Amino acid sequence: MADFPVTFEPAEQLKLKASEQQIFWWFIPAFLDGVIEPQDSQAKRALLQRIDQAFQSLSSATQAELRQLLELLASRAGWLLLSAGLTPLSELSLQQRLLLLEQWQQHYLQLLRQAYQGLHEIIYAAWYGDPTTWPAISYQLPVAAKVLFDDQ
Amino acid sequence: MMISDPITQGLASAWQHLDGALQQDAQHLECDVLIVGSGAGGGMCAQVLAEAGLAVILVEQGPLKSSQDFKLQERYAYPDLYQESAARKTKDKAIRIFQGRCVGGSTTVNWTTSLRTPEPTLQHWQQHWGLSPLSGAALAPYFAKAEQMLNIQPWLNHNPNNALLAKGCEKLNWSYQSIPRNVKQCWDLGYCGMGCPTNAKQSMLVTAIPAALNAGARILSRFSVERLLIKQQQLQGASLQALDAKLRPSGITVTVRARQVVLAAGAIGSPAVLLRSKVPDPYQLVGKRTFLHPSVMSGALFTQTVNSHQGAPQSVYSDHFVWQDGAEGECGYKMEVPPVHPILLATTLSGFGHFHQQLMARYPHLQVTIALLRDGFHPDSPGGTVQLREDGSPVLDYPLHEFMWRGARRALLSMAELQFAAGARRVFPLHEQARLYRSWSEAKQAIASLPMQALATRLASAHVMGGCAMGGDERSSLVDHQGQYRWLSGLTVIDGSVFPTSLGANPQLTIYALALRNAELLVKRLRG
Repeated sequence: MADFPVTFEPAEQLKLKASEQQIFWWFIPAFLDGVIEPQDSQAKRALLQRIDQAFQSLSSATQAELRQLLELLASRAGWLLLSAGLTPLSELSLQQRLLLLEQWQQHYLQLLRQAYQGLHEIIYAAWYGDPTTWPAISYQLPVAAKVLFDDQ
Repeated sequence: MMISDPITQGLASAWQHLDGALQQDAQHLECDVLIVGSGAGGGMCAQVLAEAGLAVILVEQGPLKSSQDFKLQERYAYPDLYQESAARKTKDKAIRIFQGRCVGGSTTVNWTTSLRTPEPTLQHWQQHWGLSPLSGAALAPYFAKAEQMLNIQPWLNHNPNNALLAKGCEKLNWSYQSIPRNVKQCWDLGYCGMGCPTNAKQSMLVTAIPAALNAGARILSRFSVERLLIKQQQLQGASLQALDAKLRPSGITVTVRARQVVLAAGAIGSPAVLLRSKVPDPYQLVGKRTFLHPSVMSGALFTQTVNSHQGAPQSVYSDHFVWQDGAEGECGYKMEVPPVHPILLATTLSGFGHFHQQLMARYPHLQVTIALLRDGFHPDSPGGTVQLREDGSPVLDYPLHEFMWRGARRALLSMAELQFAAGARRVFPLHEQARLYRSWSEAKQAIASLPMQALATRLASAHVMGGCAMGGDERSSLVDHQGQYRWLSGLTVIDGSVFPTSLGANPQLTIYALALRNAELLVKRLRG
């Protein structure tokens, strides 16, 4: 069970547990710094829902591994080990969260690099899989393809 | 506009299809040949066997999708068409593996590159693996036949992404070639990786599989092979699990009795079936020597628009560094370019926050080059091992050793040199400690000191090979040159898992040619 209290309003219909959602809730604004405002709960909620969908499409084995990681981050002992500090994730400033990610990204422990890359992959897949994010990167489907789907 | 859809038309006619997600009850089926897997090996084999008049059942773990289901979006294609939602990784998570999991297998989602087996690879197999029957001359008719069946021809209309690879090579006087592709009336959209929406790609889904079904073969989609049924060293068929819409076992079992089983589940899937079935394997070779062409990647920013997602994904390659030190020398690498779509790019690009976002915002100006490391030819490159998890699913343990890392560093250096030669303003090796470099000299110095290690250097693979090696010696190979399993009668392996090394080239055409050859030989054996 998670040791840290849940400090945001979790979405009940999601497969991810409240404590698991919370990890994403606090890391989303760091990974998407400059794209999602830390206070923009609506954007964070929408992304959390897509992360949940992406999670459900993973294989059972990958889901189990990701759950294990999220549980570790949500436990006091795990957090102490991985963050090298006692302050819960929800109390870290954005700057501190960014610094933590940078440490994990380049850490000598493989486990921390795995954790960083695991969060990186699912958050960015969920964000950039959504066509509403495409105008910001000037990506669009080919004009010729519109012809393919118009008749449906 | 209506695109002719051979799958919908076939299903409306006489095709026999069982969908595991609709399966209500246990069932027993019988056939001459059960083919496990419907990709390059299984698809081609199904056509040859069915047209020879044999009763064939083709079983595929993934769903049967057709052009109407292909929506050009990664968020649908990855969960629907790829193993593990395109998030499959090696055991330590260091290498991401792209493999198809749908009818047609990886041929439904690959980037259409169709190259013959390099001559040095065949020579290495002849000299070191006892595969004298597999000479270039002996295989040539099968390559020619596959090329004719799948309309394989060089693609000369290079998109800017590919043209920049060619330009860099020209500037540096490095050799490069145009890539032959298996397409017919291609719209040049650039979305091959998400399933071809116009049926231009001549994948197994629209060629060999319809031909097999027209000849009377039956297809079972959304069924996985739990284990092979073995009695007194004789294979009798297989026990299948029906899968639900989310591809999880529904608890319903279908048993197939067959005179012969052809294993064509790919280089992770085929060893997994053998391991689950506890087949005789006196030298403990099943799943060993599995190869990936582990690929390092390099991004580059250009002043002009590149739009690397538009147009035929791969149409230029450079083999300048593949055989430079000989087949058994230092790790060679082939250079190609990938199609760059948002999820693929965002998840592969290292970095986060502002840095990541700023690169994503330059998306139209981004060019990416990949270098495929040729593994398995040198004693210090033994590949990986397929293992089973507790739930019976396979995982590939592929530790990277110094030999491969040396190749990775040289490949990152070559790609940066190439991209600057092509006019790049900035080059960014995909590595957790890399920065954007402004010149070749700056990049050269930085790459020389980047630590080459798992989960620092970003690695990906779309070519899984080996794990059921063919060869002439029973101590080092599981199957002979025809794909016959040594220790069980009634079992033949026809897919990329039989390669004793990697290829040093994209594998689909090699698998097609070997499948044509070995399926013909199997027909002779079954008739004899």
